[in-house]
Amino acid sequence: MIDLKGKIAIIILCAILGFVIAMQIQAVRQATGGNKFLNQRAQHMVSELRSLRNEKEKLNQELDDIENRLREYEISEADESIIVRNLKKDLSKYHIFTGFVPVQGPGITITLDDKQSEGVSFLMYNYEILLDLVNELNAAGAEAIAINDQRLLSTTGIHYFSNAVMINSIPTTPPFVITAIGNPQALEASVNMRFGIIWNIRQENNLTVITKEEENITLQIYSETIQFKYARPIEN
Amino acid sequence: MRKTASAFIIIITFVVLGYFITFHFRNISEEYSFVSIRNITELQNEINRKKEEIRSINGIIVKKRDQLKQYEVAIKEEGTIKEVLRSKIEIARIHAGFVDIEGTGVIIVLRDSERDLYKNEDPNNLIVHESDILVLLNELKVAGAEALSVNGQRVLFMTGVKCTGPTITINGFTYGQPFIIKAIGNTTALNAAIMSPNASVVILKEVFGLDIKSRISPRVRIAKFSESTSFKHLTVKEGY
Repeated sequence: MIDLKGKIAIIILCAILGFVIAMQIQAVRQATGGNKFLNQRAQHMVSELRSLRNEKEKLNQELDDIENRLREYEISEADESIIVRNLKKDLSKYHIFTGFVPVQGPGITITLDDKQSEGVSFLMYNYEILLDLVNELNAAGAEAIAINDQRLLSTTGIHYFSNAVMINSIPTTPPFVITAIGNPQALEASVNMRFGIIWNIRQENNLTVITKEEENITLQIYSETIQFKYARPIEN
Repeated sequence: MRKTASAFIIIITFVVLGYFITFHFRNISEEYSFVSIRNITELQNEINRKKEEIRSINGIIVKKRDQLKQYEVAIKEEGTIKEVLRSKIEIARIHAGFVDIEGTGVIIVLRDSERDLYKNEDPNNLIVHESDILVLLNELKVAGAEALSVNGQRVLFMTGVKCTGPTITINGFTYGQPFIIKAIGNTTALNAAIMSPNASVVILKEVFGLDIKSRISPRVRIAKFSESTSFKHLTVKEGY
């Protein structure tokens, strides 16, 4: 009798255990989406990312190298002749407009982010918000603006294409960081005006907007070349 | 006695078994980690960003190499880089917007609507706003416009379109309607940007009844940026 009781107890325990194990396995499977491929793909992507980072590192070094050599030429000539120095100054003045020189100064950064639900972004479909903000900053006397490191030039269009916002034909995704050089107080005050543009964005669209005054920000150079195919100069 | 002994053995067996099972699961979950679709998209975005960065650095390198070559040739042949600098200034002046230019393009004229208001309609619906102009300029830029002007004012990167009551202020000059927008570029692309069904101009025209006329022209002239430019806060980074 005792023997039988013990056996029954073991059977019941085993049954419970089996049930718990099955539940566990089910839980793990659900958590990983029951999909090994996703995991493998992620690992593959991580390694791709790593190699891209290395490549970028190398290219940056190469760039530094070339820039040093260029500077040597310019400095050695500029030391000898005022004309070259003045020409150089003129050139960089125009290059501010074409984005061919990096620029720096005080200003503000505005960070816009939305709470994405499964990759669907309100901000990306409503990129007009970016246009409005940029216009507001320009009206407040901003001297140079970039969005996510893309310099805004006179020809820069912003549009939505294939799950990204194209700026200078380069895809970017939220969060959007707008950096503007200018009088920090004036810029900050104009966008943060009561019932102004950012108030409106926060109120209506439930986006996170953070503005920050900066003492010194640097805008990178515009990497594409500019070429006019249709426009010709008319000099008189 | 026998009962407690066997119960004890069973307890130990199950403790050991439980330990092994949890151990096993810990291994499994490490290997799997949490990978959701969301993470994958983020990774993909990060990769795309890095690729773009690499592409842009490559672009800069090509530009700089080109410059280096020009300098080397100039120094070899003339002993100075003055002429190279002069010709570069000439090109930069045109691209920067300090020279009058002409080319093929489109001219768009926007006027307020003439129709009567519907019952309870907001009068703002019938007026050209600065945001309308802003959106239109952006559409033209996306269509590859090389130069733009609004009522004769060259649109540069720091040109703000300000709403000043019934008028609009551009580059510090104030204009009332009509607003004349000129764009130089590929006429087919520019025209498509205005005519496509979801273009802002079409919506303003068809839905709100604004008076908008556009025409293609083989010779659109756009004046240079005439304001003096002095940057108060901005400086070119050291060494450029």
